[in-house]
Amino acid sequence: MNNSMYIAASGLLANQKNIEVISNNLSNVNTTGFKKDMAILESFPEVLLSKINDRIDMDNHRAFRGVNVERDGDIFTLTIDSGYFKVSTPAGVGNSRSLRFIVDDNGYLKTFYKNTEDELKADGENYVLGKNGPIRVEDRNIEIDYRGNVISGGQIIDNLITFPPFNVIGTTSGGVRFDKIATDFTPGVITETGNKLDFALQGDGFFKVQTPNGIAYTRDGSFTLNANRGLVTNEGYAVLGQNGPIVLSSNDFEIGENGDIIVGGQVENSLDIVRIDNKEYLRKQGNNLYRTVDNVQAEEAFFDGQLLSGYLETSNVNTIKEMVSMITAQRSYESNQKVIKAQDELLEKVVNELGRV
Amino acid sequence: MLRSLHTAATGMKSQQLNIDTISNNLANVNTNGYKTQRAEFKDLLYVAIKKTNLRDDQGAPVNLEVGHGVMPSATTRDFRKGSLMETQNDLDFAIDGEGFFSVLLPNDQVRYTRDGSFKLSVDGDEAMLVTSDGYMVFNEDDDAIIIENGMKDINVDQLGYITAKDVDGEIVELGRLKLVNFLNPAGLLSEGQNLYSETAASGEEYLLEADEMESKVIQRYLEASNVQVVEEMVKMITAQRAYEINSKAIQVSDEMLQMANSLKR
Repeated sequence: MNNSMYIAASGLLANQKNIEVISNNLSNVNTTGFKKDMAILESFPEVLLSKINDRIDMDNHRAFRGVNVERDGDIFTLTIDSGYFKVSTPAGVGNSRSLRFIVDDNGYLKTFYKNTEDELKADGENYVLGKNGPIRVEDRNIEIDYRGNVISGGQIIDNLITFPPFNVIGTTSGGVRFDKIATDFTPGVITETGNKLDFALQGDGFFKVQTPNGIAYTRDGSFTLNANRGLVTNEGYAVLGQNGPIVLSSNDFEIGENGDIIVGGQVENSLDIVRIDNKEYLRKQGNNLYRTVDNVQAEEAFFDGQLLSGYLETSNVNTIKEMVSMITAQRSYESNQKVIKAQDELLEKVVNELGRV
Repeated sequence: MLRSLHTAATGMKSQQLNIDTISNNLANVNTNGYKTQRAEFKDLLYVAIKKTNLRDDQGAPVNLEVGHGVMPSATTRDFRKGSLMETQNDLDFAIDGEGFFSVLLPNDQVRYTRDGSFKLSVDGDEAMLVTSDGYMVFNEDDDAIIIENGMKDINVDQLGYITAKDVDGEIVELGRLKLVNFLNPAGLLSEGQNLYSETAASGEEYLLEADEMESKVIQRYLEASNVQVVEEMVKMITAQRAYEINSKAIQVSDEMLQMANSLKR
């Protein structure tokens, strides 16, 4: 019936989820090794809005003034005055007057995101569409000319610009939706506990833990011992070393900064601490554990930080920031609600006053 | 309904436990041999609202997951040394270093303590070394430490050997205090009355042998509690604020629900 009502409703739903994420961060403000989550909202694809049954207004069409192309390293940024660029999104084809893309490892032109290491990633992102669907180039070194042509190896491969029919007057979006949740892996504060079996990691790394569902990763180093003198988490999951689960055979042990467990001057085992290079695939499992998503292998790398015994890492939640996000989300929820109410009042007028006979 | 209402409620509940722990620490600031406790938390289950969809290399690479808050996972004890205070009492002992005295309850169960304010319990011609509550203190051979009538000048050396002068002024050996330790003292179960008991997590007791003992027994001293009042106060403030901020999250969620309700007048 009325577009703006649904758009505002999508805003309400998105803000509701946002509040859920924020309140989870706030409730975990004292959780050992907790990393906060951030909600990332995404607009629905811009669809073309056209007049029907109306005189075609030629004035609406601006003259073609070419494409403005900017290139910053691998990133192309294009803007255009007339016509649209098209991208293929999971929710349908989106139209827009600006476009940012990179060439991915397979040669496809795709939109991108930056991961925590500031690397450009294009997996799961949207394809840039040309005249015949997604554009693929053999050579990553491409050029875009002012007519929107994609030139690779001196040849025009495809064209990026789509000119809409004359009755199109612009674009509209279906509103906003919750796209993904990103975890912020910045370190928390390290506090002293005095317990030899409490560990904190200084630097980018994770402990490996054996759970009934496979290997999990954690930054919560509040370990303890089980009946077999094995080093376990508070849930009883075995902490892994480089030679299998860690068992403290003697009461007289020392733990080195690199995770070595030294008994009587001999390195008996070493805590398996790894850096994970594809952290964007880590998912929280509860119990302070992380696991990679199905079908994705964790890219483990050498941990070059320090292991501190007798310390724990606190949560990295910043209450002030969360408080501000909470207020923003609440106010944004409120304004979306006002939009719906205003729309409803308009409808009321239409239905009850205009229709009076 | 809004998930955040429940999420924030778990936060408040956890902080309540945190405050309980902290106030118990503060209450025991003058308890002999008391060890600070600390509450630890873990995050609760995450639910995937939108699954990862990497089919045809399309769709979000990241799950849309929302957490359900927090729950307490453990309270661990901080076994760092408390400060030693002089008491001038022959039967007060402090352990400088790791270790526990071993005592026997009337129901024949063994308990461990670091509170060395011992007393004598007289039975006819002899007296037995007991705790303030009257529990027998073990010697190295798992027996009572007996002091006969007329003995005086009870002396304990750093290794725990007890000597006394008998009626003739001769020095007699009365055995050695049993000193034990555990692989993971944090796993001991607190029983109250300054007593701990062994659990699977603490590991079995092992005797601190006189010839390879790093800890020292110090006579006429007691170990004070290791509660750091300043630290506890700071923890209390943070816990209170965390409680407050979670209550705000509930309030905000409530207001949002109210707005949603008022959509239809």
